[in-house]
Amino acid sequence: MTESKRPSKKAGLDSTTGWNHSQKLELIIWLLTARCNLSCLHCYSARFSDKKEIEPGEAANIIKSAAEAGVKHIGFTGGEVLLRPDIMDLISLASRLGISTNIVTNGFLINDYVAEKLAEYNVFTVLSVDGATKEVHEKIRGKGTWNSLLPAIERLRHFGVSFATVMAINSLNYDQIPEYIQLARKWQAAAACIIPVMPAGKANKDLVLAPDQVLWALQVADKAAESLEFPVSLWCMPFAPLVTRSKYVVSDHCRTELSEMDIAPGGEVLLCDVLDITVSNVREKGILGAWQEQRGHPVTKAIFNPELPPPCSECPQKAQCKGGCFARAALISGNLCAPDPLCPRVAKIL
Amino acid sequence: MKRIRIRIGTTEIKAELNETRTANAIWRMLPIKARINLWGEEIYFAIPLSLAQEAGQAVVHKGDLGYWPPGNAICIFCGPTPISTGNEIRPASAVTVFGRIIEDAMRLKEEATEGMEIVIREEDDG
Repeated sequence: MTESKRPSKKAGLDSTTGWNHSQKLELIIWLLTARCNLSCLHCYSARFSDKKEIEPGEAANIIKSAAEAGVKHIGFTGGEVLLRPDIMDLISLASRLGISTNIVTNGFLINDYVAEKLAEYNVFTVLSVDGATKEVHEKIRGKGTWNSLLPAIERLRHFGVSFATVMAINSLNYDQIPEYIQLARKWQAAAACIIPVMPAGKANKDLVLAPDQVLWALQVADKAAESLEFPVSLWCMPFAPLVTRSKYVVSDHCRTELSEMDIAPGGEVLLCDVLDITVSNVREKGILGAWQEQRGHPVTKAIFNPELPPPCSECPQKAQCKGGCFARAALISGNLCAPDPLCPRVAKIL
Repeated sequence: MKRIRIRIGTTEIKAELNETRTANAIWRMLPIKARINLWGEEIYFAIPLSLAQEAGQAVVHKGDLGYWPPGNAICIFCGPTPISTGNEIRPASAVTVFGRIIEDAMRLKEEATEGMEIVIREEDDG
């Protein structure tokens, strides 16, 4: 997962190569554990389940070195991050070192103590909710998961924790998007986040949406956000501005400039947390060493300085989108440098 | 036929280059020393040579040597990559095949770990 509140970014492009030589590491997405108390159909981190996790003391040292490197924000994700016994220690340490944090959680383990700590450290909390109804949510996330959400939301609200919901849209739930956005508003979430399921980990290709389904999803999300005047955050769909118009809709784009590091449970630095291309290792190199290695890696160069093929080369969104999601291109099209296969322009339906 | 030796650690194997412009450009910059990356059963590393795609192939054979223009990298294909389907060997994106290993490519892969040094030189160069 990516997170919803990314730090602002500054461009520093070399005028001759277009390659940014002054990238600063601002954001870490840390897939802290692959362990989980659920077994969702679309889990992308299941592929790390046999890997040894970074130990608590080492994790704390990584946060210290992240602070020295100038990191502004760490998004902890999993697996279920609240299964890490040291999660609050890591959040507390980050907070003391001036690093803001967010977590992505299924909410099962949010008791009063956890909610109070999340409030104390101002942790933006992203709750995984995969349907607008109990039936659909539990079809994806398992029996009993819906009823655990409501007490978690009550506690977050009670302790004043800012939270959003995230829906991994797939063939089982995407038709509930309008109702989902209404529900997030009713729950007083800060936003409803939407991310397409990728064919990684446990996710079967049948769950992955087709381009026409994604186009429909964007259109109805845009309409619902506008009519409800409610923020909707579109993750991993950098082509979305080709479709969306509402001022309540925001979408991220990870290829505009390099300022993010994705760390796997074992310390491997991945090109993207859904794609198994290792570009360094924070346990072996530390944060600054790994960042230097990531920046100089041949695959990083290919992703951030691409030669865009048509239709991307003619697209009004190309400066931000830069070909879209390279992980999806690799996983679906078998070509890391191909245009994003879910983009409606690429699919010639827009 | 231009022949080269590729060494990782204590393992050295022979390869031959084809007649592409890419092969000639790489031949002219020998010897090459670099630190390797691994991706499935592919070994790859960046070199200071920027070439356009000459004859892009989306799928290659075991033992092929490829040049990957998006990353200015040489790729040694010892077996399937994480995006391969079945037994095919699929690079991250198209590569120009500029040669092939003429011994068992897996010997190199078995020796290789991330960050090891690779040396490529002309066959009769020492």
